[in-house]
Amino acid sequence: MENDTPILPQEIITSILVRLPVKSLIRFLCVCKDWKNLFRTPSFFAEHLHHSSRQNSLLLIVDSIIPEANSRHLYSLNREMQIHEIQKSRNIGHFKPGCVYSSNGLLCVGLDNECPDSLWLWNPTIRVVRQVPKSLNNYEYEDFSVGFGFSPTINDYKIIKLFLSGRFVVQGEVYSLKTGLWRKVEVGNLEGVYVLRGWSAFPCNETIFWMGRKDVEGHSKCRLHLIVSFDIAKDVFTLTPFPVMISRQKCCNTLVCYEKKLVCYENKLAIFFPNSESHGIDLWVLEECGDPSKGRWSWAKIFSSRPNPSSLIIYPQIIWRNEIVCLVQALPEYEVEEDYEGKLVLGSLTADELNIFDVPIRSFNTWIFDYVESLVLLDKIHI
Amino acid sequence: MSSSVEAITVLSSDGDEFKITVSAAKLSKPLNWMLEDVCFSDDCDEVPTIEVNSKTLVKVIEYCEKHAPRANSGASDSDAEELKKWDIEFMKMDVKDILFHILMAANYLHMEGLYDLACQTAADLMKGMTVSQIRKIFHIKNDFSSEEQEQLRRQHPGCSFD
Repeated sequence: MENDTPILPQEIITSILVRLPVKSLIRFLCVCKDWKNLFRTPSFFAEHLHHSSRQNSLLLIVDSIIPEANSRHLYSLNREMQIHEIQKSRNIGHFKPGCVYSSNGLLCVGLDNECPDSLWLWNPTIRVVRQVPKSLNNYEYEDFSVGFGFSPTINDYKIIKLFLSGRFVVQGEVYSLKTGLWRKVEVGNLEGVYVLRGWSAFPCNETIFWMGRKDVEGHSKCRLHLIVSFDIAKDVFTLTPFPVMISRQKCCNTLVCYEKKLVCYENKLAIFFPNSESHGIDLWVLEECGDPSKGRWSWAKIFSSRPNPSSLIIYPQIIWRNEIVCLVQALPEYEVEEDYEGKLVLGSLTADELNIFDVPIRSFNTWIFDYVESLVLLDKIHI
Repeated sequence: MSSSVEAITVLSSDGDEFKITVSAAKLSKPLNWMLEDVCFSDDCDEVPTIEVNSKTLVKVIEYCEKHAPRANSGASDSDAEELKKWDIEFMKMDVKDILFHILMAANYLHMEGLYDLACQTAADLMKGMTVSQIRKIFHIKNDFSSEEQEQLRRQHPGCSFD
């Protein structure tokens, strides 16, 4: 295709360009002004993201603090299980523990040395950083929970802040990347609901999910386990009960003791739950119910693992390429054949076997996200 | 549409005649509409022209004939796997010289599968090209002033003007 190529219509050129990796697009920014401008349009971002997430879904590992460096390292892992360290951008110092959120190529992070409600948006692939403005009001509430997600329908990223008083949700604000503004959001139907501390909000399919609870009236000790969901496109909250089976089970047993984990399975919300009877892991998926008399949503158990080896504690993190990405800890009182410590373990959803990868994970204070390379924020810098 | 024929004859933009089976022609929406509208029987002497040159049309027909059985009947996973391998080989051959022509033909003939494949092939080829090579094949002139180039370089150390 060196010589005498026909002149392609712009429509075809765009179709080719959206299939290029971000690195190539950055290199080709200077081909001509038309291309530079094209790469910075939101519709091009969206189209590129669509291809990128289908073909090049990565795993992003935010590693724990390395004592000597006092810093968190960021790695990406591709489908060939090759590791790339991601360089931090200027302004991005140490992440606040538990305050890293990832959605469609963009990270939302809180930094250690800053006031609690300061947040940054960061695209590590193109190394662009943007500070999120302060919330509307100086709330006096003791705490807040942050959620972050993307909606292809409105082609916008949103940050949602739930302000908590005694853990109860009392107020909400939402920030839209498109408008660059915070706005108050109606939380009336969350009255009496509290979201669990330490649970990062989880984005899946244009929705942000939290695990929450609500006291049942007249029963001081009876609490209803709930999923709180926020529709990113419509700015609306919904409450969904937990699967009955899960609510009844105890969370821990002596051998398998890890916490419930929200994940995304085939674009649906799912939850990993330790099964105290089988000593394995169950995966429940939230399905929209065909029978309205049974309520709008129903839970289906779609996977049960074999019993975990008694010498190991397995922490499922996310589902990636139809595999369960786990952190594994060996119990000290057992002799373990395989050296799982400090390694990433992938369990197959179908074959039920564990594969160990030599990925530098230093402790369980590690966050794992799925990630795609994207161009988002490229339009926010002056070039 | 007459069901009596299994293959039809079409003309390329160079005026050469080509045979294409009816099931293969159905991969293209415009050809499919034409099959429904026009009578193609043995005594019908109408030969439609496809605005694609001969060299490109040969490859497009080759692709259609290979993909037609799967498109028409649905296929097993092993067939899909085999077809994927075939696609890779197909795009490796002398297609590079006529890739842009194939892209235009797939676009004109509304052939989604071939269009995706050709776009991805073009993107993969571009990854290894310099900016000057890109400008050449897309017939683009560098319209940045030297100051603008400098500014872009500062903002994006990853971009290149060579």
